[in-house]
Amino acid sequence: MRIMLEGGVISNRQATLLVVSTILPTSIMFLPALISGEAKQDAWISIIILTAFGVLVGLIIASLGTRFPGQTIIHYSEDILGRPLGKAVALIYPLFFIYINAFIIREFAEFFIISFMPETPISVFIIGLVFVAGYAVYSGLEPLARINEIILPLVLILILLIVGMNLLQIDTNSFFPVLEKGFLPPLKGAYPGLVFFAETMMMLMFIPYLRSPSGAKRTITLAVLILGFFQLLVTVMLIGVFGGLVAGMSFPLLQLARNISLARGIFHRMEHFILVIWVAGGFIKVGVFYYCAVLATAQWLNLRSYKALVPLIGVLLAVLSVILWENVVQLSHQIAEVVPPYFLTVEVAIPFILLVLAWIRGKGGKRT
Amino acid sequence: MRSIKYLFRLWRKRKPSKTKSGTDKTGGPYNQVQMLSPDLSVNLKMIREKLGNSMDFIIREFNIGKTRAALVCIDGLVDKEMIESHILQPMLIYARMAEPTPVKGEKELLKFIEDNTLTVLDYQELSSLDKLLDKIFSGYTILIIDGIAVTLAIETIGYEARDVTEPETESVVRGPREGFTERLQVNIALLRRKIKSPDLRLERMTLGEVTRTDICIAYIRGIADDKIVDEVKKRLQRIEIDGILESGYIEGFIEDAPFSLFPTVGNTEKPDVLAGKLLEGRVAIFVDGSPMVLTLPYLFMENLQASEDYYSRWPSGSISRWLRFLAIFFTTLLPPLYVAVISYNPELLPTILMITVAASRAGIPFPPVLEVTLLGAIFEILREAGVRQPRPVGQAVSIVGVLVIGQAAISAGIVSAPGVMIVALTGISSFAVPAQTAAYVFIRLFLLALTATTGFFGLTIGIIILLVHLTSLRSFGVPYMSPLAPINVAGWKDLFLRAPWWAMVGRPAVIARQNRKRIGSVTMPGPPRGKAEKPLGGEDEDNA
Amino acid sequence: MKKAVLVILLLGSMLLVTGCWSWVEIENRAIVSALGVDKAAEGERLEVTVQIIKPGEIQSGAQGGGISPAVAVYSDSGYDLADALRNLGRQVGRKLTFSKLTVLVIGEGIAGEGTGSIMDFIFRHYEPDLRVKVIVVRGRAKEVLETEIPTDKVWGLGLDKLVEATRLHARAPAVSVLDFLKAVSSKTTSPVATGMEMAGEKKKPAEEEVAPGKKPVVTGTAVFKDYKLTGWLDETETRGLLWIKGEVEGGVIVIPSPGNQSRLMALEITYARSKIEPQIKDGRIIVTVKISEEGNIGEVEPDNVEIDKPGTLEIIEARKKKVIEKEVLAAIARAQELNADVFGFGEAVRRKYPRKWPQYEKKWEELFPLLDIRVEVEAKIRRVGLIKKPIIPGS
Repeated sequence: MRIMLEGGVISNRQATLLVVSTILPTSIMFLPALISGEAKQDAWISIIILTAFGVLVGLIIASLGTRFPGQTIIHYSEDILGRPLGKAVALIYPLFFIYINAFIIREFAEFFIISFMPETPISVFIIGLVFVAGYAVYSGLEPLARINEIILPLVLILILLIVGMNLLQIDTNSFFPVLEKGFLPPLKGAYPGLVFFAETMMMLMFIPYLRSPSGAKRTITLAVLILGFFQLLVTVMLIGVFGGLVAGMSFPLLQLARNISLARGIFHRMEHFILVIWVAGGFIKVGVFYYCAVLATAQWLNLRSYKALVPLIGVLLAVLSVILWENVVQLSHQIAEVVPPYFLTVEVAIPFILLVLAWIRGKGGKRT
Repeated sequence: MRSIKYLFRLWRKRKPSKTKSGTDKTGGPYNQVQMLSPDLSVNLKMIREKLGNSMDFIIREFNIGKTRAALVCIDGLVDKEMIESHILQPMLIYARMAEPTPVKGEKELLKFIEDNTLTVLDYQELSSLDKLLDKIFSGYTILIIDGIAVTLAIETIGYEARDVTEPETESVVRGPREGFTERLQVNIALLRRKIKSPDLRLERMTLGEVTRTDICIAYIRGIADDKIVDEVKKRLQRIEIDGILESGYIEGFIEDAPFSLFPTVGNTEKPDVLAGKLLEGRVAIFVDGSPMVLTLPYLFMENLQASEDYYSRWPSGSISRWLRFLAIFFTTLLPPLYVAVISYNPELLPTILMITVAASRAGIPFPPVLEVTLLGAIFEILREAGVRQPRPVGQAVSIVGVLVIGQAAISAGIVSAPGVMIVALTGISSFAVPAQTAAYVFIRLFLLALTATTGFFGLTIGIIILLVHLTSLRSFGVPYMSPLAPINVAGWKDLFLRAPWWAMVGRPAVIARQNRKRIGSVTMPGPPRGKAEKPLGGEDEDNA
Repeated sequence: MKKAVLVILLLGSMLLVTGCWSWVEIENRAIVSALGVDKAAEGERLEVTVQIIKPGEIQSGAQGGGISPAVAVYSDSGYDLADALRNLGRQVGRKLTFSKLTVLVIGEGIAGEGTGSIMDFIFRHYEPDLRVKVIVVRGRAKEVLETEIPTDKVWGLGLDKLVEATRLHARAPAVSVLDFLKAVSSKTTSPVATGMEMAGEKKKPAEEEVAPGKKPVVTGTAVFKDYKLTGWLDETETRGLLWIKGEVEGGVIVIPSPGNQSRLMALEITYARSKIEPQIKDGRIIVTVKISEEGNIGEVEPDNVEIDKPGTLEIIEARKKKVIEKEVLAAIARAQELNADVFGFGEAVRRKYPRKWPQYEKKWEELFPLLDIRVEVEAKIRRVGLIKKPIIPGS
């Protein structure tokens, strides 16, 4: 048995919620605009396609993870591919986690700057986020899972509130015609969403720490369904309220929150609650990938403890997220058009190939 | 937090560690067990040597028949009248009357005294000096008889103590009013009266190398988790200290997170509350000399619970829960929210309110952060000043503070009316949350500082840091934020609500792991069904 | 570990020392309640007018009783809206805050040239929300913003209430930036905006400098093509537009009384719905507008109208129907004249015939003015009020 590094155990429910938190905060903020660029009023169909895709990816991930109990992808890629190649493939993962996390951090920071505090330097948000995430990661897996159990329900309730308070603004005409130009636009629209829905791959790092690893399939599937439900809800709402304007907005959900005006303006400008909750949601997301990055690096390097890596990788994350992108246009261009093939390779293709190879070569799968 | 802890540990390590003389926990601080001698005068000399020339030390020598004997006790700790009428009198008078009975040898004399003379209920035979001393200081009277190496420790405790009164800290409208006192025996008796089960275990320990304070661990066997009980004992045995004057000393030694703002050991002054906690599977620690009994493990949600919630009907219990939640939010978040709204995002306010607030803030010299911090400090000083004063003075303090200073400051335009309102509301709310004021003051300041730098973003970051800290805390192995995180929906019935009693079937799952079921197969109560049982009031027609 | 402490301290001090970027206290903000845009006198520039809330005035007003204005009006010009606002900042001396912006008043002149950049500013800027009402004034926006609204201390809120009240009587639509932009984003629909004009020669003392003796009146609809103003609908046509869009929520229909043709009676509208049903027959588009309306009798001149007599209500309903039809047709005629699909007929066709639509979309410009539009109105009287019969003298 290899060194587990993490002594904590999380329940499957906690894992489900973690998966939701890992994907939801950014997907719900960026996806509607990305999807409706192509799919227009059929964006909700794209979400259904994406959810199906997410379930599929989840099954691949879970099958791979449960085949090798007590091991993460860093370990069993060596088992499957042999020492040098496996080690090389395993190296992709810590790097990927760091890169995607820098991406996420930058996205969040841009969100705060654009929507709330244009005068504030971006480093403040980045350092703030990385610091709290680092603190949580340092505290370990269990606190991260537990704090998520407090934050995620709040995020979901908030989303329901925003949706509920806009119900009267829906214009049902906005949804028609359905499939105006056939199935192609919704399919095309789903493309940038694949990256988000494939983020369930972070479970490759978490399955060994589940209370019941055999329930991983159920855990991930349930999470993807919850995620799909909320994504669908928000997308439908956005199309209903904003119609064709969604595609042009940077943060449609924020506009949706701004659009609330109830009880003679008392419930007005709800977007600040979005900010509060979104920092919290973003913190979980960043925290999860931060944790994955730290754990994967430590396992790859065969370290005794991952704690020493926390500040190191934190600094790396903060620096990368500042220097990798020049401006927000570059960022959103990359997310929509440049990175999906690469990300999907890491998120889906490699695990799938590993699974097939493991199956062919008969590695793993036996109960230990 | 952890780093500070670490530093502190380092610093402690550098200090020369305490002398590790093979201290025997049960035997106390005396290095070797000193046995008594059969010779009375030797024994008395030993005792005199140990006690020096204490002024409260009484030795009364007398004869039982032909045998020389002595009573040793400490003035003030014993009930003198009891000694005179139940020990001395029988020995001096009735022992002689029983003289015809032949007493052969000293051993039989002792038995004779125990069986025929002593009219006291509780006594023990002791043969070692240090145990004897322990007993003396606990208020026992020692009977030493010449020629016997065994002494009798007779229970004659009779020192002055406070009566059982209603505690001021946890006063209730509905529910028992009695509170613990400073006497361990009384306290334990109060608990016994609540829980008449043989499973209520009371285990005695003595702590404090100088004070030799009696403490008592109480739990209900079969309900309390054995692991928690063992852990409590283990932590108590680790304590090495000269004196325990209050249960707070022990709390400081056994808590999980000494640097945390949040307590991980609870306390109560009321037997009914304690009984409730024990029935939920908690462990209690009584300390002689303190009416505050420690309860563990202590969870965050206990901040929100009060005994009255359980005595009154569920709606009022639930309402008070929500109010306490609200109070916690107010007392920690109101000032930072005020600063965030006023200094960064005023659009959060409805237009008219925004204008009104802006109008009342116009011309105020201090920025909101400073305003709230200063006013908050003044409020805390007023509170502190009021607490230690006799009641009339305390009232005067609050009147001067609130009415005069507050009103004058507003009308002079030094502080704004909304600022004063916020601080006052914060302060009042802090009283609605049972007894954690200090922690909330720190949290408030921490959040204020972060909010002042980056508004809502900083506030959120601060809240997250707090949440990470809270969720990583454990009290004796139990997650501190349970049942909120990890989620335990059944536990929410006693957190977000005070569900009706018949609905709260289980004990807190994280604490009473071994024995969760608390309520039998009782369904919801209701009027009797079927024709056979009519309510006592009879048919409606009869009333007409 | 010591390093960790150091890092925490450093981070903490960094936050504390360099913090406070967006820190502007509430009393130091200039809260803009209304924004007006005009064509500036000097050439290619535009003139911007802002109404800023003066908090101090609000409070003194509250103490003294009575309603005294609590706004200050500033204007300045610039090459575009952002530039003009920056210039304006020199006069105001405080940070302009747009998060409480309620109305955007656009002068006729600049509206005719295009409002694209103005709308873009509102949409792009992080403070204002999309519920800001768009008003186009026949004249200059500055004039509107400088006029006192006597019922409200904050005039901008007063303007907002005016629009709402007029909307409830179906004399003008209430259009938010969101509605406007949604219409713009459609390929065929023409955006509209609330119309306003300065009317009423109210005699006022000459020393009142900001009261030119006129007051703003919300009336009619400004019709845009894309971002440019192309024409106006008067109040009748406006109600026709609102009938078609199903946005009538109230108002009064005046018809000749059935008893006496020369007398009038007023009918209150309580409920109105509409349905646009396009049809493509032999390559021709036919749009059927179905309107159903319900109302009460609001006011009757007490002559011999026997409302309780069977048949009377049917006559009234028939007349009401005719009035509604007339209004709807007037709106359609005007819109076709302006070649502006303010009703969203094109979108309706697209929704129903997504496959065939592309071929029509391109020539919608030519199709719309000649579009075959049929109107079906169903008007009902449900209640007659507290009296069944008017009190007739001597009866």
